[in-house]
Amino acid sequence: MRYGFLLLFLISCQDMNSNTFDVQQYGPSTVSGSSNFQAAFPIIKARCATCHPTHSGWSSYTTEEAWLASGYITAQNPDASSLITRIKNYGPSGDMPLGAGALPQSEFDTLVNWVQNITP
Amino acid sequence: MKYLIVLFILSIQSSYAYVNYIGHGYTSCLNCHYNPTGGGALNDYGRVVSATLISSGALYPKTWNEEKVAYTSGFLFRKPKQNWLRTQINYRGFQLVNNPGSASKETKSWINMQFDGRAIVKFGEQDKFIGVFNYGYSPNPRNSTLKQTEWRSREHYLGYRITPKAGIYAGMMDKVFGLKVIEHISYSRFVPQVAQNDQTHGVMGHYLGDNWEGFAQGFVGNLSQDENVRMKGASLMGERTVFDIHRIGASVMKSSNTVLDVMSYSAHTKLNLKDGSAVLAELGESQFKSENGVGDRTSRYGLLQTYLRPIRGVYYLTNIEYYKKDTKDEAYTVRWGPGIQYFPIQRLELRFDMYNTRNFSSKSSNQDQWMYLLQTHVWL
Repeated sequence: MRYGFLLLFLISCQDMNSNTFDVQQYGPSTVSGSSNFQAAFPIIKARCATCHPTHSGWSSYTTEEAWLASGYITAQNPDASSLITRIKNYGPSGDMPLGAGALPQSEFDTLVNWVQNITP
Repeated sequence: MKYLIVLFILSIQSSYAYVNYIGHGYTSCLNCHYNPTGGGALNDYGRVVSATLISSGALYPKTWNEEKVAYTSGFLFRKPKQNWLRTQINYRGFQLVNNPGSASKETKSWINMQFDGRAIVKFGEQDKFIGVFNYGYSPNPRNSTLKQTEWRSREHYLGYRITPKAGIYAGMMDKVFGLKVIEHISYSRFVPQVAQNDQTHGVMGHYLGDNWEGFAQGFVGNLSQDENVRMKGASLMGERTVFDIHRIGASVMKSSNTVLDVMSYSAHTKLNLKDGSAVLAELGESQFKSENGVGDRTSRYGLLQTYLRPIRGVYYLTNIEYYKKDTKDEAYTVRWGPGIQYFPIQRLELRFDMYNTRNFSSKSSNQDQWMYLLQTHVWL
């Protein structure tokens, strides 16, 4: 029993931690996709993913498909997209980004425009 | 092997120590833990303390005296048959409720936060040589598209204690920085990147003086990760005992990978209010500089926790946290709330925490966010 117990500790390590997505977040990465997504992605990186790099994995969402699959956005429906409705600019229900002020309105509009015009 | 798997599934624990035990007179974590920074596996003395001092005695048979309780504090309630091996199993899970009471926004979920098996091998007088191995469950981030194995080696290191008060430790372990509070989502753990899964490979030196304690650590990152994201660096932490029973301390840590540099520094204090009650406080900043400039900032955080012990086994706590994502921004967030922690018997912790999160900004306003946690922690 005790030797089996010790063996377990030699099995592979998981590497998910605060820095797993640093290259996507802080490196010179670019994304492909619609022009609206390419405009929105840098805003998400700067305003959201700095605090959601790992526990929500947001830096790993580098395509529109990944964002749709995450459930944080609904194509053509910003009001049903928590990525939009949780932002302080949206109204009293918005509480993000934590520890910081609302987004510049032009940045918020860029995010809304992207979600509004996604072709599912 | 089947037996081991069943044992893992059936059993339940925590990565971090309870820093508030300075309220019981323990200024140094080394008294109760193999790791001198606290957290992880308890040593034999720590298990006895958890049975006789921390936990309520209400559920033990009336005929048991403290000595009998102490004797049953070992793994699976047994007194160890040898001195060279110790095993422990730990589980921590909680019910998380967001926006309680809201018909449209309330969400509930059960989260298995931690499920660890630990083995400690030790030799020599006063545990001169130790090997600590901790393997366990760590859930994938919710909604993440990247799925990994959810089992990981949380820590594995060897220690050599040159004297009972001085040691060198090498392997994978927690980074040395600030107060190692149990709440891994606290800003004081999240901002400087010393949260639940941020262990690193490295070497740590420790010295316990008459009225001070010092730690120095050099690290090369988590070697399971790709080379380009491993955070390499060093940290220093010192604490000094003041007025015989309190501690003040400071930490500094520099770490970097190919795309990010982080410089963190903090000051903290642990105040002993006696009879198990304590106040903990930490104030710190982290400076982030990145290759692409996205997210370059200095983030600031504060933590104030009080633990009041009305009766043995029960701690009433309040938690107040401050977070400013960018010191250039006028907005900031405060999270606070009460909680209660109950140890009905050694090996079982029940905890309730409520959190209110409020954002302060002159340019926008939003509703307060509420959530509560009902937590169960079992260790064998």
